[in-house]
Amino acid sequence: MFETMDTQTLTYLFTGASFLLYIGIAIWSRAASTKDFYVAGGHVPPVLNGMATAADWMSAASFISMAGIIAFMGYDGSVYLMGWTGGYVLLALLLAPYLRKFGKYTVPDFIGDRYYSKTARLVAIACLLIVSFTYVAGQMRGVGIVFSRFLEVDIETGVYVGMGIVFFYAVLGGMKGITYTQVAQYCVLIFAYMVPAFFISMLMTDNALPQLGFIASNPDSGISILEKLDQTLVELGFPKYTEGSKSTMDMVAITAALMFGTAGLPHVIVRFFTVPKVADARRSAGWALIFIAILYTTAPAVAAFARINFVDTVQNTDYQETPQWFRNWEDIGLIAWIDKNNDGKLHYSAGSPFNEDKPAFDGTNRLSQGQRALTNEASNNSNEIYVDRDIMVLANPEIANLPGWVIALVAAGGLAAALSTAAGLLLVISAAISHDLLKKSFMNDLTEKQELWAARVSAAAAVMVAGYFGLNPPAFVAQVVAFAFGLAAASIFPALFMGIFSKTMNREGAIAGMLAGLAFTWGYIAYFKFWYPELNVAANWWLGISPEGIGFLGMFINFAVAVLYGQAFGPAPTHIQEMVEDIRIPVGKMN
Amino acid sequence: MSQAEKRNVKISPNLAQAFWRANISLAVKLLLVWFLVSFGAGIIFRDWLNQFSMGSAPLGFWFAQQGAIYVFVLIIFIYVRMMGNIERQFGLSDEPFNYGETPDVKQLPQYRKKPSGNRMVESALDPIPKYDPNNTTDPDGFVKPADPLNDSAKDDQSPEPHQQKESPKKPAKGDVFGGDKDDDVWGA
Repeated sequence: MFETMDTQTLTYLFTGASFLLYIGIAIWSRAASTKDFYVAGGHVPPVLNGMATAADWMSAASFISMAGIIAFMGYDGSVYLMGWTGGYVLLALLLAPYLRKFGKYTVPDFIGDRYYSKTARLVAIACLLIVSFTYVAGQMRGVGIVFSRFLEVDIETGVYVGMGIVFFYAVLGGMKGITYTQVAQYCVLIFAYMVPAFFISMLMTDNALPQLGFIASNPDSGISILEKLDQTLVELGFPKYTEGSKSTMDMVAITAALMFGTAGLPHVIVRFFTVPKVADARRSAGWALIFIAILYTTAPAVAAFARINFVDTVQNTDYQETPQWFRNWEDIGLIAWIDKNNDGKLHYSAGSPFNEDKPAFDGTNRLSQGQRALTNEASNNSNEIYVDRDIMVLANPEIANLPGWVIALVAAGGLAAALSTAAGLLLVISAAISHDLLKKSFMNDLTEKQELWAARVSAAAAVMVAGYFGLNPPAFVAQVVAFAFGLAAASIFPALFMGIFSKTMNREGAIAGMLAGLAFTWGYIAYFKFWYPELNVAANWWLGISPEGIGFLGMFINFAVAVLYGQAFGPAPTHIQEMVEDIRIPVGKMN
Repeated sequence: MSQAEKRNVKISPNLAQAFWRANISLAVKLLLVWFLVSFGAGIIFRDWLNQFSMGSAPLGFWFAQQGAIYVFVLIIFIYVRMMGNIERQFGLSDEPFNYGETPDVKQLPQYRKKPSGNRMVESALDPIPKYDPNNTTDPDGFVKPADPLNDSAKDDQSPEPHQQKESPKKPAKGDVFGGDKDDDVWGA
């Protein structure tokens, strides 16, 4: 039946059906108490919790941008693959079981109680809000991209629809609604990611499993995808795909910042408060990583296939003969062509096609071949094509000529990824405000009912702020998100780690450490990204570490400041040391 | 014993310390593997490893884009399994029985008597009686009995509410797994 419908109708059908599913689940699993709202009552089975964590975790950046970034970065893109999975090892081994034993609702809860200080709680709330809002900005932009391309509505309309859906199930259902919606969203997004990947892998390597196709040799030519890619790219003046251009130090720093950042992200940590037992927290981390690994081991294969396909399709093609997807994306402004030698053919090679970073289109004007007119100044190299990396996954089914329903599926998957992460983030933001800021810091006499009401209001407010970011997007999806990790690694992770593994760490040290790590990391990123972007080259970086990786250094600064400054004050009081002893054992208490 | 009661069970400091050492030792070993496959094989030793290959991919590149992720998954499940064993050996598990297993009640006392194959755990457990001669450790296990209704540490003399104390080697079936869903092998 799907063959007779056009892609547009199918896309409406698929996304509409998935939205109805999410809303249905939200109504079925409404939150009745604050415990439901914050931690889904604390009895989500570990496998389902792992699935929800995976959907919560894999954002628009993972689904839409990551394979595209790897496709253009080659080996250098490995930092995202290792960085966004390795953090789960740290979570399972170092944090999750102990935070579950602690048994409260939020990250600031732990930091406030462990460091026996309202100030520590407030600093943790500030870190959480900065990290979560940075992260949520990327999600709303992802929603906008998907809507504008596949439903051919304005980005604005797309963001409003997205806000409406998230508002509905995050505000109504709280953590309980979100968790069960995320289970559905995981199924949608992984199916949407894998189906085109299977198709393309089969097409290009005769091997249906992308993970194997990625490393297999082509039976006909005897040459593998990676070898072909290396050859093609070198001919076009790019570095080899399997060899990167980042320094070893920078690779290590970025990977580590992403890993430790993962382990410090509040919306991930809070997932381990929702399982029934300490052992379930560990197990749940394992399941989450399995569900994540399915996508993360497919992404590099998709990236390699997409890059070859893209080069094959555009290189030396007459503009008149380019496939429809090329022009669709050009219409949206994510592809641009500047015909430097006036031969009507596309030429793709290394370097930027013009002197500016982004294409500047001259209104709706068209040139002789029908391409959009640009006001950019052509650069000296022979590259004529600008392509936004964010489109690779979304365009992949079209590039590989897959049927319309696969394209519709990818649109639904991209929305599931963006919405599930946005909802998870909005929830920790609202919990931080209603529980930590109001109930625990300023209005201790709030009743349960009032607190639940406050949680809903702050969730609603957070949706508005996220929507504002979606309408006024700060930058690239993945780039914005990558900074959130650095900030989390430098502020939250060390405080949690020391809270568990040091009995004596005192509040003075912990607060100073968090502030120092956050200030240093934020300052370094702002210096190179906002204030002096022209200086953002490897030669100017401190120790050769880029702004993306600086959170790793920020983490050490946090630890060092905490330990040294904490020396000036005595060890934590006895009852706090006893609390730490208690969270280290899965059952019972020692004191 | 219900989950709520279990939370208030009193654990001897020596047991907790030995348990913590076993836990740290396991975590450190697994984190070493974590470091070696990602930062090691994927980044630092990549150039050298690239002379080998996995399928047709250079090995260092493969580790960075695929292999490390597979090993991460393995590490977590090994940790889940081994931590579960350690917790049961120390009588500190918060689970009714091993995940995915049907509990064999007859096996349990034996299991507790020979905590192992794990020499680290055994040696860590040895000094416990010496450290704390007043500890009313239950004869079969290591857990200091406690009155779940009373948090005070001085209350050691109060009658032991848990049936285990009287017949540690033959736990009644209902005591370990039956009846109350929250029951588990704590102290069994």
